[in-house]
Amino acid sequence: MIFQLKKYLLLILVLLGNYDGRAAGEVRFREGVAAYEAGRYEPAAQAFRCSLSEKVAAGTLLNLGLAEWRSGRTGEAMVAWEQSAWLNPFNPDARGNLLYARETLQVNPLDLTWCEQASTWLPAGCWTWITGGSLWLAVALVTLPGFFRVRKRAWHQTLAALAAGIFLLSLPPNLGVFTRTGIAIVTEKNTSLRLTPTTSAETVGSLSVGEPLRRLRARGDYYFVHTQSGNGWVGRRQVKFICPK
Amino acid sequence: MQIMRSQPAVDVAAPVTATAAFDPPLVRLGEKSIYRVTFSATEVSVSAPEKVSAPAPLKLQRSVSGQSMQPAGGAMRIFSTFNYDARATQPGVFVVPEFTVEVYGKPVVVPATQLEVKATLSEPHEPVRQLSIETSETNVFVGETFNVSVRLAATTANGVEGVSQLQINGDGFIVDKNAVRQSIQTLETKGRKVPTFIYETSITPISAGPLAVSAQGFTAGMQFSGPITLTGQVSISGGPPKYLLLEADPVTINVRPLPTEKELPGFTGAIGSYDCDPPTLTTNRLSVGEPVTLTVVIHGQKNLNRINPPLPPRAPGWQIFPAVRGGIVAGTGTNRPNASFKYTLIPLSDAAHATPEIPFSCFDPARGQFVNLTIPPVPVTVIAAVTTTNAEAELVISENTSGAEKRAGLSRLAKNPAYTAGSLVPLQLRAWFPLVQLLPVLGFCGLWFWDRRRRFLEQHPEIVRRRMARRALRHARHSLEQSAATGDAAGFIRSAINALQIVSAPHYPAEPRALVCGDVLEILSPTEREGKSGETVRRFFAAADAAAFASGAGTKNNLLAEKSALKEILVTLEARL
Repeated sequence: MIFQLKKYLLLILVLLGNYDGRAAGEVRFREGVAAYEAGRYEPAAQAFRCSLSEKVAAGTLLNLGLAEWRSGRTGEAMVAWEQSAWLNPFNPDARGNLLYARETLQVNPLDLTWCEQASTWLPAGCWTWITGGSLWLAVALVTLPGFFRVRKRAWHQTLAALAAGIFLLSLPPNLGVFTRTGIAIVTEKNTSLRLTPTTSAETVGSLSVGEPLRRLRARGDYYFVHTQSGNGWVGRRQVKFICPK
Repeated sequence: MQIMRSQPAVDVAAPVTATAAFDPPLVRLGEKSIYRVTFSATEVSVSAPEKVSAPAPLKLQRSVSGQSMQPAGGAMRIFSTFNYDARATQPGVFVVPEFTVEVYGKPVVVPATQLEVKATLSEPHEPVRQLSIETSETNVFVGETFNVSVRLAATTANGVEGVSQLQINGDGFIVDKNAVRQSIQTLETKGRKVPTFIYETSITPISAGPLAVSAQGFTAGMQFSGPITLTGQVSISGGPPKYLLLEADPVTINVRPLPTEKELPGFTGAIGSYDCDPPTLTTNRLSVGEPVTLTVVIHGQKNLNRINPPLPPRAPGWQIFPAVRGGIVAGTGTNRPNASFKYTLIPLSDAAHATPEIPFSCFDPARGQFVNLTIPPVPVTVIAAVTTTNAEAELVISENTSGAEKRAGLSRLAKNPAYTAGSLVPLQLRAWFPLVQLLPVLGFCGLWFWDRRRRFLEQHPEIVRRRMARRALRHARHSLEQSAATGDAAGFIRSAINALQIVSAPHYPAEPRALVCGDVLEILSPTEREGKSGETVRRFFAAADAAAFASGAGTKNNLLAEKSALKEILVTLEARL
């Protein structure tokens, strides 16, 4: 029952516009699946990447992660699964794969704030529509009866209050979505956490592949990041963001 | 207090003295001698020079230094020794002149001493006494522990001495002080058997690259620190010890970094050749919530005490506590030494049929690759507990978590691309998003202005009436022109009357058809009313009345000629709207 509800909810969200559901990149996707099932993981990963360049899709990202994992690029695989969960948090496969990867690589997930935790309940793009829709619905219910000389009814007030409540409740998840765009995954082995943003800087720690981190600021070719082992600078090429800009 | 009082006093009041000597004082050309300077002061208080002036053929190079406590006159005195390596490039007698060194801020004179260097020396002659270092490995990986033995051969008189304050010098490694073993054995050196004091320990390199390992220590006569093993016939020199600071020439070890490209899961830094026995459980029949111990035994020849147990994975249906290290069991006969870990596991569900797999690996330096030592699952039978336990409560929590968190491996391929999106970038960060949000803002602003205008017009209806009159007048003029063009006199008069009524109506206000000639004339000025304009209006209304109530068309044709006059009247009246 809950699964059905989630399914219908996602369908509504798809219709809202963030997800157009078109089958772009379908051919490349099929090629990737065929290559993967034949045990040719590198061509499979390449095909899934081509499919993603045509259209970003949660299933394609999931499969790309599997192909990357089988090819030994565990960091890239975790990024792909995180992105798949970013698009479709209801998909248990992406979350299960992430759990398995973290156990295998012995890395812990990043501690999310409550805003960020709430933002994972729905696809990242949906919170914005919910916020915008509820705001304008509340404004419309308050103002339109006056404009059109329609007598205000009780259900107008009730719906406006409900919409205003939804608007207020959806603000923290929106903030969470925004802050989650600064989360990245280490993709290069033996990534050094440096004291200053230079190649000759003193190393204050080492980050393993798959370890999540949070970007605090950027300077040149380096990001100042927060990790579970402390703060420091890492090279831009050593990490990949879940939400690339 | 008695123990403290029984200790010999440390004499710090005696004046500082300095001695200097070459050891040995006579060497063959090219051989090394040690220029040893000793102060009766602490090491840190002596400002020993890096370079000592000496005759040009004699090269002195500062090497090691140390501090020792020596009995002197019923008390203990502190002596510091500074060694300089001395080599001469030509034979001769070289005198190092006396020089002054600052000790405790006061000058202390180091006496002159001499070294005799001969081109040839009769054998046997006494060579320089120094320590030697032997290592079990010369090419190791970072973290790979290897043995080091520091040796001091007996003197030419076969007298063996112990070495005190022995320390391994160098950077980039850790010395295991707990693994020290001392012995005196007879070793073969240059074809003859020489009793030798041997100090063994193990060191672990912690950085890659060439590693220089050297050693230093004081000769201590028959005083040995710690237990010592004697093998064979040895003669140990009696009498008070003579504390000489000796050193060993450094040995270079090549330390390689671990290969990173094929590191296996569960690597905790174990380096060596190991293998695991199949893990054992205290029992294979469990109840939910009942703890069970999983024992893992690892066999290997060395570094067993440095193996860290792998962290237990998060496994659905199990609560696993980090491993506790067991003792190291020495090898006996065919059995190799082994170490053990003990994990405590608690099944949280009766659905568990085996213990979870625990990733573990080590690096085998002999093969130069990582070896998979993953602890395999052990089949178990878990029966549901009757009573409510904390484990059951955790089981409920576990069941409430999503199905994804119960997964033990990778998922299968997605059959279709599923939900697609234009980009991973959130909507609020896209450039068009603020513009889209402007649309409803503009819509509501438009509605507000429209409502405001409507309310204004409701309060000023004359504006609406005039606007409607102007619009109706345009239509009336159009029909007027058409009637004039077709010569329809009756239609022309009707259109003219209609136009006059329309343009006059907003002044009353009244329905245009209700107005009569007098109403229209009322709007004209008195001059116009009495003049031609008034006359024209009267004629048109008269013609209209005649057309409505009498017969005859004589005047109708004349009125067509009044078109221009009528237009002027309409323009005048329209301007007054």
